Amino acid sequence: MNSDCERMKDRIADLVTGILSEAHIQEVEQHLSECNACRDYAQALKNEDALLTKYAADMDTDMTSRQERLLQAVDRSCQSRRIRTFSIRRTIMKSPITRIAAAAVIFIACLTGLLLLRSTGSGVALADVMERIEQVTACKCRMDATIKIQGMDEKPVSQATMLTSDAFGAKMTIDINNPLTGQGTTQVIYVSLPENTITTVVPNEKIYSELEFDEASFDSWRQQSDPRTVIKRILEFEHTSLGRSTVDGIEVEGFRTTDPDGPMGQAEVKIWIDVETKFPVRLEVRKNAGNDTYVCATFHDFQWDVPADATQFEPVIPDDYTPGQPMMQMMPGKRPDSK
Amino acid sequence: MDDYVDKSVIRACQKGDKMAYAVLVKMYYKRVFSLCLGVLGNIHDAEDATQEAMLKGCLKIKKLNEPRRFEPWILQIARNLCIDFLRRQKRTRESGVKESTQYEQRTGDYDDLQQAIRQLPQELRVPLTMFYFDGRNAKTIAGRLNISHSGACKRIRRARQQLHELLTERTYDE
Repeated sequence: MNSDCERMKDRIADLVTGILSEAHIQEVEQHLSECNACRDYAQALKNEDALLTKYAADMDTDMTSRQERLLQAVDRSCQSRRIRTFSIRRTIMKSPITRIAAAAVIFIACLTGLLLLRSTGSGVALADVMERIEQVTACKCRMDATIKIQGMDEKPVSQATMLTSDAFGAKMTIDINNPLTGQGTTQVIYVSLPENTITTVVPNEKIYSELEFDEASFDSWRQQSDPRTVIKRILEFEHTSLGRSTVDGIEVEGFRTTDPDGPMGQAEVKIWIDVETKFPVRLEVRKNAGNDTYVCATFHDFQWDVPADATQFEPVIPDDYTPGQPMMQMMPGKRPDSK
Repeated sequence: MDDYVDKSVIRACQKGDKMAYAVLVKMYYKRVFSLCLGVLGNIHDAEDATQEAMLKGCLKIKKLNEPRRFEPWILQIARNLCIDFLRRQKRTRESGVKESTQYEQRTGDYDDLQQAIRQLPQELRVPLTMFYFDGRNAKTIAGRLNISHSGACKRIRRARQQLHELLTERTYDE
């Protein structure tokens, strides 16, 4: 070991660790080629670096299970305080995914509307689509939502069937699955326009809740959510044609646009219109949350202008179900029993 | 902040969206864990502290005014919990109660390494664990510890050198 060695030790440590500046690399490598003692020192540090790296990698394999334990603890913590904001049922109902499903009646109308009234110049006249939609008094569809979280595959998170009616309101059955904890639940949501109420029934827990909208909040909600009001706003947005293709055996024309203020915030939207009937066939909404994370909702199996009667929208609450905390947070409201 | 987190994710968490918080757990768990491991020097304690910190973050996130500050905010929560933990541990030691966790977690090949890491002073152990357990990036560590890049490199270097001495001593002792 010569007089340079002490000075070199710091740089050797940096070189082995990978933090030595490029300007010094050649100098250190030159020294190592000439000094056995420093070469041994470098080799020992390299071995330790490999051990540290392997140790970290081995611990990394447990990281997913640690995260899952944490998420389960989050669930448990919240379940024990049902009044808290983080109650599992309320949380699920407040998730953007569920909000899409719950607001589907309005959402579909808005998003189809955003493409309406404008001639595309490519075959399907969107004004015709608007005209067709306006004639519809009730429709059914299905929705599948998936979530992609950084480091995980895309996973299903909710499936819903929806029946909506101009006169009576909406009925939605939503199966929600937390892809991280595996926890799932089913909710049946009834929106009654004549009664101004939202009733949520949770069969798994045999509970239900009912919210009544006060006049002011209902007017506000209607103002923000009325398709015609929203259409006026979003008519400002540009859309592009995706051309002709086939969806579920139907010849369609697709369009793409960005909705800056949908139920999930800004989202990318694609819609496919049946070129013959001029009705939407499929709608995809994708909300990117950054860092390889996104939520995607697909609405499909549309049945336009189906027959509907009031009995389909009356909440079915078995006798052994008990009232629970309000679960539906679609709009401000008060509980009927709080008058 | 290294990773871009859409502020709508934070906003959704603030409204009680647990799935959105799961996104944050996925993104930040390892960073919080490597900090806790660095401060506490013990895997099981680090896991407990990480869990407690992220649970606390979940419950307090409404108080976070700037979504972009989530990372320093959650790391500060973790740091405070670790300091409390060390204080409690010190009181336990002073009261003569035998500590059950300190030397129980033996994991075969890594026994000597774990012991040596634990013997490092905290100011070196933290950057070392952050470096090896979360991306090997000195610049990122500098940002998270609020020190200069050269300061982070210096601490990592000293940690490596002291670790080498500790591991060499253990080899000769045997």
